[in-house]
Amino acid sequence: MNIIRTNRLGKVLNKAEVVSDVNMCIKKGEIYGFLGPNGAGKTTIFKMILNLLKPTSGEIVVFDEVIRQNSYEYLKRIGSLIEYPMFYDDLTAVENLEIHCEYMGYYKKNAIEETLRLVNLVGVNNKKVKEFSLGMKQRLGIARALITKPEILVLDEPINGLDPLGIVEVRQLLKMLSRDYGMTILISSHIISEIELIADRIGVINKGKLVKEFTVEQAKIDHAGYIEVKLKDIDKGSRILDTLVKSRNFKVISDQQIKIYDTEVSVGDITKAFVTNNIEILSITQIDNTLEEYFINLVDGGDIIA
Amino acid sequence: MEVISLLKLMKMELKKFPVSGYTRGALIAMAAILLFMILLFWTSILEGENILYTQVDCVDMVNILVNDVFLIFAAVMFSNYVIGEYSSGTINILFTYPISRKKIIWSKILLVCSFMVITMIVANVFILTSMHIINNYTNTIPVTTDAGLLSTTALKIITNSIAFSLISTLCLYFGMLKKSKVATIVSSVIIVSIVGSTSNGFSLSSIIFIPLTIAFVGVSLIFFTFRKIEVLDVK
Repeated sequence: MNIIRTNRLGKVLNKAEVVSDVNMCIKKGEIYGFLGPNGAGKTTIFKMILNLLKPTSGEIVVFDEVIRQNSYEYLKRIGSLIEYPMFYDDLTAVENLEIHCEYMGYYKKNAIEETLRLVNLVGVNNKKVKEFSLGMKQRLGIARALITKPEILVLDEPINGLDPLGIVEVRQLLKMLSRDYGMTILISSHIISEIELIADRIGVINKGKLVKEFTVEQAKIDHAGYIEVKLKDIDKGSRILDTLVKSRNFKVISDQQIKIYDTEVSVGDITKAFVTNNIEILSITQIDNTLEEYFINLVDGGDIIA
Repeated sequence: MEVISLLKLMKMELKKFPVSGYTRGALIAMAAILLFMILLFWTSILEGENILYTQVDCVDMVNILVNDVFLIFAAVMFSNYVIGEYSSGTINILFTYPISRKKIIWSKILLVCSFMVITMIVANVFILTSMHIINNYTNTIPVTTDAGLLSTTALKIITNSIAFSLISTLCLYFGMLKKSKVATIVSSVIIVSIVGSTSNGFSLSSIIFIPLTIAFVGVSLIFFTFRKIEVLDVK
């Protein structure tokens, strides 16, 4: 079941088309990663889902209802963190969360305490938010988004400003929320490796267009890895590979470089074959994850090829 | 679906922007106006030349000062309660709540205006009472306490307070054009210098029709500004 669906969604801002013709579906309970370079239109789409921006064309359906320009009741079921986390800076973390809960109409005892512990923001009770570091604000922003245990969680670049440990914590937290509460999570980032670790499904957006949607699982199979060899004598090398790699699944990239995609042969096999045939190897590398390269190709439209 | 009341929203605003700071400011402003009036009294006594001849002069003078000072005060409040949400970006949070945007904005306007009406009435009463007590000792101005004069004075204070708190919406209108705190406050100073200034004892605000008209214009413009807030992009 699709919990969010956009239908030919488009947005013109200051006469520039920042989002065009986006059809995306987010299934209930999944973690959907939204990947794209800065300025691709990720935040704009998120803001349209939250009705902060109104679509110029197309429509958005959330919880099976079309969002109208003046809809707001559905927002009770969505928690969000958009762009830089903003708070009432003169108030403390607890006060900010209290206000949020009251506006959302959510009254559960200990929720604030629990949530602060969940995002690992402890011992900040009497500190005003303006004294917080970016990482702390980011944690508080995530806390605010999830405190009401919403059905949909919209997080725009939530790992910005977090330290490596913080990133791991947030990743585990999101997985837990998805698993234990069945939350549908929409997360955007321009960091490929991070999205890949968190998301079940990824939508790649570039220049306002949804370039591709796929599951992470499938992408990992499709782009399992390759072995890259640099040789002095490429002709002789490829002749040997012809016999060694039965599937012939390899490619001469340049006059020194060959990529072997066949997963059956190992670095050891190749090295052995070249050495026994007296071919000088400049370098040989096993590249495990080509998802990143794949994304870059998607985003750049294949302009950059290694 | 539970509907959140306007009163509740106003309470929330007070929680976000505590009014205690403004109350303190208002007290200081009141004290300053009183001090200014005492100095006028004092010069009158020393120079032997009355600047304030009659009781009515005195009431008018206090009234004008209170109107002017608290109009700027109201603009400062608006610049925090409304413009501040835009300039700090918290409006992006506020408008993702399951509450009508119009209701949120009007709760803010209602809060500031009602705070100002009360403060201005209190300020007038406090300053005039203090001066009355001082005058009892100094006998600078002849005082009559007939009921008719008292009631016209009371009426004047109340209408002026309402009119000037509503005029502050005009400042909010100018501030909203560019979402600028500075524009909000500067516009209040300009309005004060036009409406509130006196020349030869005459001020535009002494004809109550004029401030009421400006107040009406201000409120209309604000209605116009926020008329489409639900359907417009939040910027």
